[in-house]
Order: sequence, then C-alpha cells, then structure tokens
Amino acid sequence: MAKQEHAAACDDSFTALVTRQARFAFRVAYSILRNSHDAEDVVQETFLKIYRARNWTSMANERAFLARVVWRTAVDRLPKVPMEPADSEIASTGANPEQSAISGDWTATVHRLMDALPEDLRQTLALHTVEDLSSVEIAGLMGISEGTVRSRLMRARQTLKQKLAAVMAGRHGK
Amino acid sequence: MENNHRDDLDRMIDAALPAYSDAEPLAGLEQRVLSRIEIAGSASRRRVWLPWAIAASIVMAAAVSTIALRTERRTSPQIAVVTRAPELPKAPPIQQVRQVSTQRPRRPSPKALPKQERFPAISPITSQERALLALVTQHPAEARQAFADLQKRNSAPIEIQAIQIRPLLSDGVQ
Repeated sequence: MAKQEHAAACDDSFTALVTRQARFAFRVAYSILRNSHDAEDVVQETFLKIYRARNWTSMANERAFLARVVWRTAVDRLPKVPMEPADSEIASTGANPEQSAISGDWTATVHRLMDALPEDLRQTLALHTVEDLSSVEIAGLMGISEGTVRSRLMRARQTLKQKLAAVMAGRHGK
Repeated sequence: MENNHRDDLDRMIDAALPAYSDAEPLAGLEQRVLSRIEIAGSASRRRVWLPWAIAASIVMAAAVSTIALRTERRTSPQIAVVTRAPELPKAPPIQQVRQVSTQRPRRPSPKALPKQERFPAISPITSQERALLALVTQHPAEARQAFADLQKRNSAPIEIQAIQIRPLLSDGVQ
C-alpha cells in the first residue's frame, strides 16, 4: 500500500516536472537541432530517460540537469552532413544569407550566418540564446570551463559580425 | 563612423539571437510526453513477464512432447489402409535384374529341450525284445545255439551262385 502511494507521489512529481520544464527543454533542443519535430522527439526521449533512471527527485538544479540531458541527446541526433534550413526559414526566406539580406529580413540573415558557424561556436551561441541560460550553466551542461564558453561566445559574435558586414557591403554594392 | 557601424551590427545580432531558439512546440507537448512515458512504462512492465512467459512455454512444450512420445509407445501399431494406386500405362518391358539379398533368412531358433537326468535316456523295452528275453530265460541252451549259428552265419563268406543266362529261343520265323 505504501509502495503504491510512493509510486503515485513520484508520478505526480514527475508530471509536475514535465509540465514545468517541457517548453524549456524544447527550446534547448530546438536551438541545437533547428527542427520542431526532432526537438520534440528529443524532449520525449529526455524525459523518458529521466523517468527510467528515477532520479528527478534528487536533482539539485533541475534546469541545468535537464538542459544537459537534452543537449546530449540532441547532439547525438545531429546529422553528420550539414544541417537543413530551419522550419521558420523555409517558409519565410530564401535559400542563403544574401537572398535574405536582399529581402530585408536581417533576422533570417543572422540565423543563416549562425547556422554556418563552426559547430562548437554555433552550439555555444545557440544555447546562449535560450532563455536565461547563463555562461556558467552552459559551461556545466557542455562540460567545459566558463572561460571557454565566454571565449567561444566572443569568437562567434566576431565571426557573425564579419560575415554580416560582408553581406551588407555586398548588398550596398549592388 | 566605424564604431556606429559596429554598433549597428551588434544591435542586429542582438535582435536576431533570441529568435534563434524562440520556437513554440505544438500544443499539448506535455501530454504527449506523459503519454509516451506511460506507453513505455506499460511496455516495460509487459517485458518483465516476457522471459517468464517464454520459459513457461518451453517447459510446456517439452512436457507435452514427452507425454506424446510415451503415449505413442504404449499404443498398438495401427494398420494403415492403403488405397490402390491408379494403374499407370504399361511401360515397355525392362530387363529385370534379379536382386540377391545378401542377408540370410532368419530361422526361428529351436527351443531348448528340457535337460535329462541321464543321456541317452533309457527307452522302454519293446514287445519283441520282451519275447526274446523270455525265450532266453526259458530255453537258454537253444538260445545259445541260435546265437552261435547267427554268429557263424555272419562270419561265413557270402556265396553267390553263378548267374545262368539261357539263350533266347527263336520260333524259326525271322
């Protein structure tokens, strides 16, 4: 009887965790995969792993823990070949940053340029875009030092700026 | 001028970055996660019984086959009803090769006779022998004389009379 009560309490706490963190987990997965379906699969797989491991009650920082599991699962799913364009861009913009720039959609242009970054820089910057994920949390979930995170963020921004400037110069030249 | 340009680029990047991971999952993500976990949980519960079910079925099959084999041995052989095959058209005569079987036909082994106390067993006296015994007892001298005559006759050389062949008589008509 006590066992059943314990199981029910566990299930309730797990349901609460899913309700609390599912969208956050989805954003982390989406920032890495840039595909809604894959991101949802990763979220489901992540929660399934946590449920099977039965360790959600002992998590010190559930957001950091969850983000780490999601990131690992998403990285495992990353294709070996260059990534396909993100869902939002397929509908709204052209096929490359120049076309996006010509159409005046600078957000899509920046996203395109981000997709073209080296994977370590892209993932660090992408995780940085997820709500409230600090450099410390990113360092924790990627298993690197905070200094490395800051360095990667800086290099990623510099590269983005250079490429964006080149795109803008090309547009103005035309 | 240069600084203004850089500030513009930073602003553009800052504006575009949050949208990189700002994706909303389809409605009901939490429910889908929970239902998948429920399905996976029930499947794993089913899988706990799977090895036992397999083991039980193997044991059952072994028991059934053992019982079937024993029952088959006890039952008397059944006479098979063979229907006569339809006659085929006569084939041209083929020289038959006589097959000689190398195996000897089995003979039934003779039953061992009961062991006798004395071998050869004493046979009962016939009526003639009984009469001879009575003659010897009543007339010993005559019996002795007859026995001597018999011995004498046996030891004497056999006399064979000369064969006389008479010439054939002709009646004169030739």
